[in-house]
Amino acid sequence: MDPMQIVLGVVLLGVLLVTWLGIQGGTKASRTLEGWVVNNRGMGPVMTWFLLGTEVYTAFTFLGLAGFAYARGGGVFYNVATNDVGYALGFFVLPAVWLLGRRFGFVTQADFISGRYQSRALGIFVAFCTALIMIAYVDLNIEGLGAVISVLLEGRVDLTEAEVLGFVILTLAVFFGGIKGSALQSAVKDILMFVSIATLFVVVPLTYFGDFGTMFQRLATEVPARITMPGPTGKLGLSWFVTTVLLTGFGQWMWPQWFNVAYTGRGPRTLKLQAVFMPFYQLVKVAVITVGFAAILIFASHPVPGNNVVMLLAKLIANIAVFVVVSLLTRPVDTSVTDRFFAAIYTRGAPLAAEPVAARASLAE
Amino acid sequence: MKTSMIAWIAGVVAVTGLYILGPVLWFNRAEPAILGMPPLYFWFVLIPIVSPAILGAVYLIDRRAGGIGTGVRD
Repeated sequence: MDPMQIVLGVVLLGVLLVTWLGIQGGTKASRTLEGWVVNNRGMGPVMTWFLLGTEVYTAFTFLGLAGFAYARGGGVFYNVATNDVGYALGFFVLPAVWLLGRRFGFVTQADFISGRYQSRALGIFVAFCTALIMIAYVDLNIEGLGAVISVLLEGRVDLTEAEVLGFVILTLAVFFGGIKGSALQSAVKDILMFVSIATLFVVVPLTYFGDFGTMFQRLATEVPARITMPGPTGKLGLSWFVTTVLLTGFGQWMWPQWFNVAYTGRGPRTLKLQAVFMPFYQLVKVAVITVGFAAILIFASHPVPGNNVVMLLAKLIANIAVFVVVSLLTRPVDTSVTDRFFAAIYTRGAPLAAEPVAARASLAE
Repeated sequence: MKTSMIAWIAGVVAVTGLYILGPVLWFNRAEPAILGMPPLYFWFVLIPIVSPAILGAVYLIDRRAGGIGTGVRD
């Protein structure tokens, strides 16, 4: 049997199992709107950690970040800094959002805006923008799925069919499993992702350079401009780095799918603990960046498209390809993002009765 | 509340400052190696480990000072 058929079989089995897990685990909690969208505000620190982890660390982290490091150099580290700045900010902001959400029954960002500014029209506008943003975000991740499949199967499968199939599975999982199902799937996906990234992080340097020290030494002496700023393009200098970190870090919680994680937590303590422990996730990004830097030397004589770097290396070291692919395809798209999309479409009664003054007072609880 | 707010602001400034000032002031270079790693790479391995320590300290101060939502059981 063709090894790729085996890989494909394992992937399909993994996708079906994780989809079943999400539907099975989330159906009961998803009988009400609040249950479906925010799990009745009942997630503890661990599940919230996995949920936010899967919101933040998508196909871009796995494929795009290595490609960014490979093609644009040291500027890639902005992506490590930006989330940690956001987590520090979230230490206070998310508990505040949670308190207001519980008090006034908010379950989406649009609810929050509508209630705080006492404007149903503004809420509808935010819901509309959320839906638009989520379409682009879902599309981005479906594209990631396409990149994986195209490298893995070398064009032997129709990409459109694979992407449509991925989207159908995703929709079913979200519709029946809600946010709780999504969180359960996140835990499985993240563990698989940790295993695959850790494997690549260790195996690539050992296979191609003998050890980490040799790899770093060669990077520093042969391609120093590729691992620092402004990098090979000459455009990603320190001023770009500083402004990008500030802009994206301080704007992090404006993303609707990240903002909504505040409502799923069991309470302020859960969200504060999450802010403390989320930065550890950034080490996963550093590991991916390491693979991207290694690729600069590995593919020095025959440049490849940046987004394919991880999959090409995984294929070169064929026995770990299964881990990589299953971790990416078990959640071809971040299902909680799709959750937000449907939540944004659903226009609940905007909580216009919410009193801004009372809302501010509740922050002091 | 005031103490916890000050601790939180200090935490945000510390995390942001470390990430930004490190590369700007010194670490944006490929050599000399620190613990075998290029300086810029080393910095971005170090700070994701330091950052939880800073926020952990903020958490402890916040809990003791009765920060936002402390009274809510979860």
